[in-house]
Amino acid sequence: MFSWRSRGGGFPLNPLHREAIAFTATVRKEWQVMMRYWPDTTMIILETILMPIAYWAQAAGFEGGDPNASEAFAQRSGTTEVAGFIYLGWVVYMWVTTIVWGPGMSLRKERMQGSLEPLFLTPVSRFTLLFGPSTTQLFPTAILFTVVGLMMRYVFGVPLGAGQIIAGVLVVAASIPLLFGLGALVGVSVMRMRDSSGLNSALRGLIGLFCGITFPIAVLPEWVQPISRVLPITQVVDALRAAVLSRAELAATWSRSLILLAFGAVISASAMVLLELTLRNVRRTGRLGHF
Amino acid sequence: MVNLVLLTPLYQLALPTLLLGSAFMVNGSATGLARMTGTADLAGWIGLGMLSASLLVGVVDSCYNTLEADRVTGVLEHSWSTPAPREAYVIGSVLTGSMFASAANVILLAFAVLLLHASFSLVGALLALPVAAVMVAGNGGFGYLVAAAVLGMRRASALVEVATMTVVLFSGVTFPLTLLPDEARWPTYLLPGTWGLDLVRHLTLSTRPQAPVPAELAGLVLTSAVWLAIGRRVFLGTERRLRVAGTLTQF
Repeated sequence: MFSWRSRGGGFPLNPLHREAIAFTATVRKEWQVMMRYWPDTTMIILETILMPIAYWAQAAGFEGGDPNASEAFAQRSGTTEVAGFIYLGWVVYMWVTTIVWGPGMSLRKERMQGSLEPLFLTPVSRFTLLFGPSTTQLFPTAILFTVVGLMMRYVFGVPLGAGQIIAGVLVVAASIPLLFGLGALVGVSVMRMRDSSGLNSALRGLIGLFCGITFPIAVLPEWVQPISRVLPITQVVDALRAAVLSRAELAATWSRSLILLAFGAVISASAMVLLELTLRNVRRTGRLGHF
Repeated sequence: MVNLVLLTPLYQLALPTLLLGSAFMVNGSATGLARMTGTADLAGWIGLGMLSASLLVGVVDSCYNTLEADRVTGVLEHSWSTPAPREAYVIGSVLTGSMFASAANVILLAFAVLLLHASFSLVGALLALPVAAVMVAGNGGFGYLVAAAVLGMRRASALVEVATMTVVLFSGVTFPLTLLPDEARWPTYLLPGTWGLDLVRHLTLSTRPQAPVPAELAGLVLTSAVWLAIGRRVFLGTERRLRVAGTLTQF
């Protein structure tokens, strides 16, 4: 696919060419790691399928066959499809988790393995370092969304037509830069910490509480709701539910997708700036390899 | 340990469950839950579920971390060389984990009472104490099994985590077990937590019990005793096997 040699027979001089080679190598390496430890990916897929069943059972218990309770949920959530509501929230949550714990920890893993300093000595761009690992995750992400769609349609009978599927795919595609940016931001942030496992657990907890993953935002305290609504992950979850469950107009889905793309661009740019600032700091303190 | 038995159950289980339940409230009352269980006290119902889950998770993690830490740091053989009975490590971990979980749950339940208007019967709470003690004994059986897994398997964390989550979910912690079809419900009767939690909820919240109270008490005592006996036997057998093979500290 890419020529390793320039016309003179040496290493390619075109920077874009070199960067593409480095990016491809990063993706290939992450793919090999993912295939070697395939049980991890399998567990994530199983968790994505099984955990929402527990939440759906909770919801069934709280609904208790009372039509007034069902109506109350529909008013607060905007849909009567409880299983679809929970599954779509949960699959986004698992997607975020995969990015944060996977690519989001890649720089820290490199540091612990002792390869971070040599990595930063290479001419590879910060873009490749931050976003290369996340690209590999698109494959298990596609599997996650596919199995969730199948569960919703064939196990829980959620009506899913072609239009809703296309709208859902549009929202997911528009959310990719946002999730990549989030992974990069987390990856850079954890470089400043000795032990980031506490941060990652707290992040998961906060996302679960403030982004409407398994419950409607409307049940949160009133002063929290505006904060929740502007969070990027909440925007992803809301847009996906609106597109798939509430059958939003294509124009509305398109405009929300553009907002998600804008979010992604801002977060990704912030991650690259933060990485540059972090590198300046560690160059001064000499703590690049410390953990 | 505080993070494990207080904060993590709070933001991973208690609060999301509570908020999901709030989504079904009609005029501030959990009418759906009242139809299913006999109580509209959503916070109290969930709070007691968290108590049961924390007691089990506290025991499992205490047993796991005690032995795993000793093995990884290379002091397990030294501990095993002392005249202390091997079971002392497991029983000590069970009691430590239960103690921390109980303390954390006092705080959680106080939070539920003061801020979420949960209401528990005082007499029922006192009667529930021996029930909780029997549940801890049953959890001891799981503690033995976890210890056996840590010693016998090289990496037991995934299995322990999945098994613990399964037991927690199917003990009625977050949803009424009456929702399950009959074929799926009978395995839940094998768990001490199923009987214990149902009894505690009945005594403190006046919920509808799944079976008559004497039957539930018998179920709790029987399942706790059986799991304790099985767990102890498996642990002692595993420890003997490792002693003979000389692979105690290998991982």
